Amino acid sequence: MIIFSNVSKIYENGSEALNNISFFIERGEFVFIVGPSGAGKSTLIKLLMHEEIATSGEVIINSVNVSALKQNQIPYLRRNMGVVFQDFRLLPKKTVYENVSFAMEIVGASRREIRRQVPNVLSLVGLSHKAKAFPTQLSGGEQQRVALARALVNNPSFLIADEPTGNLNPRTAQEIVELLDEINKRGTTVIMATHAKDIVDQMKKRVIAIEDGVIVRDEARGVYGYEN
Amino acid sequence: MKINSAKYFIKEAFKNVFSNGWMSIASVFTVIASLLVFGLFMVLALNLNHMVGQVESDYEITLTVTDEFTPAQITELGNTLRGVTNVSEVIFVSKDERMEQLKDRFGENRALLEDYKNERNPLSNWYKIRCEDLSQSNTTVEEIKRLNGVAKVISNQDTIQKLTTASGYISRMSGWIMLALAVISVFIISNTIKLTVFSRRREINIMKFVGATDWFIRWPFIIEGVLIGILGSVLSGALVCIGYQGLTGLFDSLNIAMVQFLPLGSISFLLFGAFVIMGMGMGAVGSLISVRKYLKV
Repeated sequence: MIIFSNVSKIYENGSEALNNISFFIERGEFVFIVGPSGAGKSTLIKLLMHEEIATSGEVIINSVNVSALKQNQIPYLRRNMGVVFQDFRLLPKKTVYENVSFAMEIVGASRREIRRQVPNVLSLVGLSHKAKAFPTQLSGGEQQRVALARALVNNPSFLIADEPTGNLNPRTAQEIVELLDEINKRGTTVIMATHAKDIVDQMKKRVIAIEDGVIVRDEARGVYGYEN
Repeated sequence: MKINSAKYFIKEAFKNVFSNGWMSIASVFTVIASLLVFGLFMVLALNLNHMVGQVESDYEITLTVTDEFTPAQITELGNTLRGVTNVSEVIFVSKDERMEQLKDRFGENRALLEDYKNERNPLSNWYKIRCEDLSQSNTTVEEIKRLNGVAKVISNQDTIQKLTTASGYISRMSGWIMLALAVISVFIISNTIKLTVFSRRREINIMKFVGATDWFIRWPFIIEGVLIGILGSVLSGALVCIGYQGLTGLFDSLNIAMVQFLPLGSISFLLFGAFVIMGMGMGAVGSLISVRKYLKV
């Protein structure tokens, strides 16, 4: 469960990114975060990942107050979440398999666990046959699937996707979102920040809309609500 | 540290060393250069200390007996000397013995001294005295000087003092020089590691958001620095040992050395130990400095 309680974020340069935001996301939910560029979506994601700390208010993730977390506890917080970015962030010199197994090595998994778990997630994202390929040999959609596999390989309790379809064509984007939906149905909470109107409208999931750092809408089965 | 992780760290460290081959070699040479200078001073200090010890161990006071003394008086003086506090050993060296020793030194030209026999022997009788406690030797010398029949007292205390001062000075100096060299080496190693870190900042960033701890990210770089340090220290240790062996060998063969050098075997272990510890330390500190900046995500 994720709770934002009266969260504000003012950057050092004085710009106010979030202003007194409150919401909560329950385990197993699928939530879209929408809003125009610069509305505060990225800041919200960064607060979740602890890349930034709230200026005031509290961010509580799995009953841990993240704002009060010590530097050396942050890695363990991040192991609860898988993250996917618009630019995939894969390591070009590692194969698909290595890009995924890398995430398990980092948390100190044994070779046996790695050998069991990596093929599992690769088959979940439909890339078993590309395990030995390098990221540059893959299409954008395939690269994002690798990133998804990497995000999921340590069984996180929730998945954060920051504009995951931003670099993909509509058909591939559709596939990625279907995959996210599939992951969500298996029990992982999914939080996706997006500009993709079609996808939001079609999925009929919860939508939190942010404008100028304020939540303007929070609907259970919402639509995008902006003209692109 | 988990075993799985340890394997990963070592694998990554070796990869880093080889992928930045030229910079790694440059760093190794820096380590070699600074350790060579350090080694020079260390060898010098060790040998000086050794010399001081040597001179101290055969430290003796030489006492010239007045020529007017009769043999009986001389024997009595010997007994008095044995009674002086802090005197452990008293040896009489007659002027005849001394003449013989002198002749030996003249070697082939000993015939030149044939004339100076018995009454014509210009040398004086000597007493050689050893002290129990060297630090008290000053008082002992003063006491002996006051005795009747003592013409002159010579002690090599001055030599010892000079050697001790010199060795202390060199030890201190080598300390400072090493410190300066260590700082320079750390700086250059940290620059090498910085290159590795920079080329892998993307990877580090990914590691951070997947949940790698700071130490997990640091370890491969620390091991990389330590590897560079070990390589440099072993090479420079070998160079110093070869050089030392060659130089002492040269001195021995020329037969001009007044003092005995320490044999290589007795210092090589100390030398390598000090070098490897210094090298590893410089490598580890260099790495820590360069990784620090990239960990703040």
